[in-house]
Amino acid sequence: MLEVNNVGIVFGGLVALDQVNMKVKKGEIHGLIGPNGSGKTTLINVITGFYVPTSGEVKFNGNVISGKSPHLISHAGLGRTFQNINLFPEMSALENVVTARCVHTNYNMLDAVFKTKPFKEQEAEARDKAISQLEFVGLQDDLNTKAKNLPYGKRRLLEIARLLATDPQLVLLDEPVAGMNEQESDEVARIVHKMRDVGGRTILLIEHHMKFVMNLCEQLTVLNSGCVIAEGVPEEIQNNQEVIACYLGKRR
Amino acid sequence: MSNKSLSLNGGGIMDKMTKHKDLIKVIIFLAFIAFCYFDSYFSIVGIRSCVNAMAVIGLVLISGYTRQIHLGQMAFVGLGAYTSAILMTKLGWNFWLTIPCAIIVAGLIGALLGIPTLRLRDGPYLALVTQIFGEVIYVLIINLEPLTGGTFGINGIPAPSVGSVSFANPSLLLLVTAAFTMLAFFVANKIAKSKYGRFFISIRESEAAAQSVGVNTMKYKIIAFTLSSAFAGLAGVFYAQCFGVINATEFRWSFSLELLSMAIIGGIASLEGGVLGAITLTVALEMLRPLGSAARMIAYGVLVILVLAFLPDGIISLIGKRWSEIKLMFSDRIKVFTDDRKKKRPKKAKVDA
Repeated sequence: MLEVNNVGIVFGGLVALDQVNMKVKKGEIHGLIGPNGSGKTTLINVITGFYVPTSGEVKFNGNVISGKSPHLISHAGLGRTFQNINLFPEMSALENVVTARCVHTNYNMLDAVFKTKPFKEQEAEARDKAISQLEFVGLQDDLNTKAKNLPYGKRRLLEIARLLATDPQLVLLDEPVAGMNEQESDEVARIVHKMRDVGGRTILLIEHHMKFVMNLCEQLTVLNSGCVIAEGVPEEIQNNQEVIACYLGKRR
Repeated sequence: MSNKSLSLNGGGIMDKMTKHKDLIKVIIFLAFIAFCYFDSYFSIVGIRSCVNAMAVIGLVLISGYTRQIHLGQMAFVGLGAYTSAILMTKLGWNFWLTIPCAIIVAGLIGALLGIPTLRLRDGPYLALVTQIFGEVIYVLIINLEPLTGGTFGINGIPAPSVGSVSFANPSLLLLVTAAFTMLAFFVANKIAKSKYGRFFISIRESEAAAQSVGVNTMKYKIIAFTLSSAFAGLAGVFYAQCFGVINATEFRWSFSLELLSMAIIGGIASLEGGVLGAITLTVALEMLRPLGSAARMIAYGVLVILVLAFLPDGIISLIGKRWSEIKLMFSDRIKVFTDDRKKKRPKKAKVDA
């Protein structure tokens, strides 16, 4: 479904990603791990169009998407969350999600001014879809709370609801449980499973919380200093000497 | 940011309440117009208020909703005014036909200016370009003498009429201008409450997040700017009618800045705030006229500073609040200026004593 082929990106003189290859299969929950500064978020930014790779290409469903604008990549069926939660803080939770859903409406300005039938229908549909996404992540009681006033964990969930409103085939989650307690991260794990099992979506996630990653992911890719150092199922990765060395250092 | 502009259709009780509030706003506006109607001097003040309100409505969409700073709104008012005036005096067009023409000319030039400028991300490019554009328009008007009358401006712009009824009388002209202002507000409000308004706000709140959910942020910035210019064009038509005379110096950038401060003082985050600011300041500036122009500008400056210091969301944030809430708002703002510096401990409440 997603193919990253020989992607490299250089910032000034710094090689942030070097010849990265990765494949994400349809229906998979794929984890992307690695120590801090290994290029995980950079890779997500390349896949979603926020960075243009210096070399290589990214293919999604067989089409090259690298170099396209982020909004076009979103329309192609990729959705993402941000490492530092990136909501529309002054909007209510409902408005945040409705805004994302509105991307799929096609009424024009005159429809809005004259409140025509397509306008009313599409607005109602956007609202209903938004509410059902908020219910999906368990925020049905916070519809009218401003995003900036939500507690941390709920802001993360709201970002997931907003991304689901665009109906993506592939979901990229950048540290979805960072700073969460056990109970909250279990809830996120349940939601991620539901996205795949009920929604039929593919998931690629970055996370440092190893227990969360090992329990949830079916396939892992490990990055270190911009290079892929290991790939495989969690059991293989756990016993990979190179991975252990990059996380814990080598035994002298 | 007012919650009202964000609320969705079909909210039950909330919906009824906002409808109630909308009605009150309309009544306040009509009361102001009725007050101005009976005096020919105040009628002119009323017309100027409405003209400024229409221009500020546009400014709220681009600078308030989308947060792209626009420093040349008056130049677009000028484009509308000159388009209408030239069509009427040189070609003898009917006033009503010049309205759509002025809107289209201003909107089109706005789009042509916005397309290259708003392609640049993350920077004060629009502010720079619009300010320079205002001066370019000024120089153009001065130099295109056969068309624009150069430094002499255009005189004797005929008043609108329907059949044998002429609107030359300021009171009648006020009614027409007020009607168009309400229409402009209605249209802008409908746009602001649709996906367009939401996308504009999403750009302000977080451009990266907006792109990540598929909003073509460049396109919607250009749409906001084009709309803003079109509203300014409409304002220009009535600006030309106000005295029947227009002159290029009236559209220079200091007047654009005046419009922007009206929006900020009223509350740039909402259309209501913009209109309130436009009316309040136009009237206040008229009232200060006896002070002479220097003292007037000083008073104006002090007012801007006070509002920014104590009411960062504009005068509109006072409306519909209880007295106790307002007191709390002010004490919060005063704390920002005092406590941060001196690090005083908050005084204990005297209840225990």
